[in-house]
Amino acid sequence: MNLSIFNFNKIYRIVIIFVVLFIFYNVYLIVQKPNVTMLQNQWQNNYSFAQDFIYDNKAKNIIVGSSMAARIQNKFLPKNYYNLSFSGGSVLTGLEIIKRSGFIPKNIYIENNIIFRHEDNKLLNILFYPFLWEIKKYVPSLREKYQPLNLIISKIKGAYGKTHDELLKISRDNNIYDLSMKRQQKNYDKNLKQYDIKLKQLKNLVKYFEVQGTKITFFEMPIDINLAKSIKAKEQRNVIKVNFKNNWMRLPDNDEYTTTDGIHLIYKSAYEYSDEFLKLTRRVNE
Amino acid sequence: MLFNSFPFLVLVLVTLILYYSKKLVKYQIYILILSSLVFYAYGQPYLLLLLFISASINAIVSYKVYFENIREKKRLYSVSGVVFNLVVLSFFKYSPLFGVMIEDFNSLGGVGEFLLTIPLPIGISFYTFQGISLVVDLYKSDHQSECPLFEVNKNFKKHYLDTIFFISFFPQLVAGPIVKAYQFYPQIKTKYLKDIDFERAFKILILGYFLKMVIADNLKDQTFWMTYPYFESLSSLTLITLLFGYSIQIFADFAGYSLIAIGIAKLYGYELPKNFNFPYISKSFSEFWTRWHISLSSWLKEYLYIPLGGNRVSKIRVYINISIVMLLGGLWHGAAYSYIVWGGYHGFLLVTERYMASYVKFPSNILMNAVKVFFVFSLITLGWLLFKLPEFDQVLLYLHSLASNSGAHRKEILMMIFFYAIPIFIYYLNYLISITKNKNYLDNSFIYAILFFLIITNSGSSGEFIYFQF
Repeated sequence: MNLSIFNFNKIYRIVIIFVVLFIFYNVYLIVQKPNVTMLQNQWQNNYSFAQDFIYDNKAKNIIVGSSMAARIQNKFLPKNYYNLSFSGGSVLTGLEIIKRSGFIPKNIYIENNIIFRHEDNKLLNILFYPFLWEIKKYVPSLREKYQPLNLIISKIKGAYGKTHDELLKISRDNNIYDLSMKRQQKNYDKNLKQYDIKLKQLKNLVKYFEVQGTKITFFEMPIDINLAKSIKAKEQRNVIKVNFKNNWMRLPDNDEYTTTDGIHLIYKSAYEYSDEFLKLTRRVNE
Repeated sequence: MLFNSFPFLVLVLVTLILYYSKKLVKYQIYILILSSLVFYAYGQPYLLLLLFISASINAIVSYKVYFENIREKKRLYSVSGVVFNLVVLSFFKYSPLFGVMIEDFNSLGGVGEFLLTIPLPIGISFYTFQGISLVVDLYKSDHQSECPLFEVNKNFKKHYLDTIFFISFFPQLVAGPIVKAYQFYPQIKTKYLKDIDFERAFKILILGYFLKMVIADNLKDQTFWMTYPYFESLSSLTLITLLFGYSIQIFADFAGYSLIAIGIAKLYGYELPKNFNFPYISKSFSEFWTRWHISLSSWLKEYLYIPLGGNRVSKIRVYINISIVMLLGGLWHGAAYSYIVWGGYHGFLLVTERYMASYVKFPSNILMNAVKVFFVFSLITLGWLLFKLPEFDQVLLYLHSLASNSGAHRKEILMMIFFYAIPIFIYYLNYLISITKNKNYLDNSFIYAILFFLIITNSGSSGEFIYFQF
C-alpha cells in the first residue's frame, strides 16, 4: 500500500505551516518566558497550578485542600511554600498529584474543612495522561497555562481582574452571603455520610508520605462561626483526630475573618489569614 | 469513545491502513463493521448486543418488506419493523421518565424503581431512526418499483451485512447525522484510495475539531455558571451573556461533531448528509429548521410530517401536525419534561409564524432582514435554556434572576464569551460574503494551519458532546 500519493499535496502545505507556527511559538515561550497573569476559568487555574508544581516548582512545604484553602494564594506565600488546593477540588487530588509527580516534600499541610471529597479523576487523567504529561515538560505550548489566549488576556491591562489594593477593599455582598448561608447551614447540619472509602484512601496516602519522611499537619480554614460549630464540622474534626495521630494547627479564630458565602474568605481575610497560617506553621515545626 | 480522544485517533488510523490495504480490499465492509463494534463496545460493551439485535431485526424485516409481493403482508412487515424500533426506543429511552411518574404516584411498588435502572444506550435515538428509515424506504420503493430509491441485494447475507454496516457505521453511530437508507445503501461498494478527496476531508476535520475543542469546550467552562444555584448571584447582563454563550456553544459542539463525523466518513469514501447550514442567520423559525440539525428535521418531515398530511390538509390540521412533530421532536431529545416543553415552544413559534404570515407581510431589505435574524436568534437562544437546565423550576428561576438581578458583572465571563464568539462571527460573516461574492475567503492553507495550531494549543478541557446524551 502506498499512502504517499498525489491527493495529499495540499495537506502538506497546511501541515508545514502548522509545524512552523508550533515551533516558533514554543521557542518564544522557552526564550521569552512570558508572564501569564490571567487564566480563562477556575479549571484552567487548577491545571495551571498543578502543572507549575509538576514541572517547575518543588517547594518543600505543600498545602492541599479544597477551594477554601485555595484562598491562600501562592502570591501570599514565600517561595518554599506551594498551595496545591483547587476550586472544586479535594485533599485527595492534591496528595495524589504530589505522589504521582514522584516528589517527596518536607511538610504537607492538609485542610480539614472538606476532607472527604472524592479525588478529581478527570483532572488527574489529564495531568498524567501517559506519555503526554512527560512531553509537556519539554513542550510548554501544550500546557494549559500557555494557551495563546491566556497570553493575550494577560497583556490587556485591567481587562479583567483587579489589583491587590483594589481587591483588599472589596467587602462582602450580603445578599449573596444570606442566600448561600441558607444552603450551607442545611448542608452543615447533616451528619457525615459514607466516608469510609475516602478515609482509607487518605490513610494510605498519609502513610505513603510519612514512610518517606514527610511531616503531615492538619489545619482548618476559617469559616462562618455557626458552620464551624455545626454537627458536620465537629464530626469531621473528630474522625480525623481519632484516625490520625498527626499534628494539628491551632484552630482559627473564626470571628476575626469574613467570608463571602459562609465558607470562602474574602480577599482581605484570606490575605490576613495567610500571614497567620505561616506563623502557625512555624510554631508547629519548632 | 470520544472523537477527541487518543483511542479514537488510533482506531481511525488502524482502520484506515487496513481498509485501503490491497490484500484486504474485499473485506472493507467487515473492517468497518469490526471497527464500529469496537468503537461502540469501548463505552458500553454489554449494550452492543442491543445494537446487534436491532440491526439484525431491521435487516430481516426490511428484506421481507422489499421482496414481499402481497400488499397486506408487506404492510404488516413494515408496520412491525417501525413498531419494533419505536418500542426499543421507548423502552430504553423513556423508561426512566415513566419510572419517575410511577414513583411519584407510588402506585406500582417496585416497577418504578426497576424502570429507573434501565440504562440509556448511547446513540439509540439515532440508530432506531435509521432502522425506521430503512423499513419505510423499502416499503415505499420495493423490487417492483419503476424508479426504486435503491436496490436491495437478493442475497440475504449481503443485505444483512449491508444493514449491519448501515446501522453501525461508527462516524455517525452515536450522534448522527441521521443517514437515510436511500442515501447510504447506494454508496456501499469497494473504495479506492485514489478516489478519496483527502484534502477536503482534512479541512472538514480541522474545522470540526476547532469548533468542538476550541470553541465549544472553552465556552463550556464559562457556561458552567448557568447551572443552579450559581446563576442566582450573577447580574442580568452576565446571565444574558451566558445564555448567548451557550447558544454559541451548542452550535459549535453539535456542528463540530457533525463535521468530524462527515470528515471521518469521507476518509473511508462515504458521504454523510450536511447537518448544519449556518442556522443562526435564519430569518424565520421555519428557515431555522432547514438549517439546524438538518438530518433530524428532514427525517421528521419525510417520515412523520408528510405521512400526517403535511401541508395538503386544512390550516388547522397543518397547525396540529406541526405541533405534533415538534413535540415528538422535543421528546426525541430526552426523557425529561423540559424537552417536551422545548418541542412545544418551537411548535408554538412555527405555528404563530405561519399564522402571522397569512396576515402580515414584512418588507425585505437589509435592515428588516437584520431585525428578523436578531429576533429569531434571540428566541431560539432563549429556548436553549431548556437544554441547559434540566429542571423546569430552575429555568423559571433563571428567567426571574435575569429580569431582576443587579449584582456585579462577571467581567471575565463576559470577556471570554466575547473572545470565543469572534471566530463564529467571522465564520458566519464569511459565509454571507461568500454567497454574494462567490468566494470563500477562509478556504486557504494558512487559515487551516492556524485552526490546527489552536486545536493543539488552545483547546478547552475535553467534554462529552452535548448530543451524546440524546
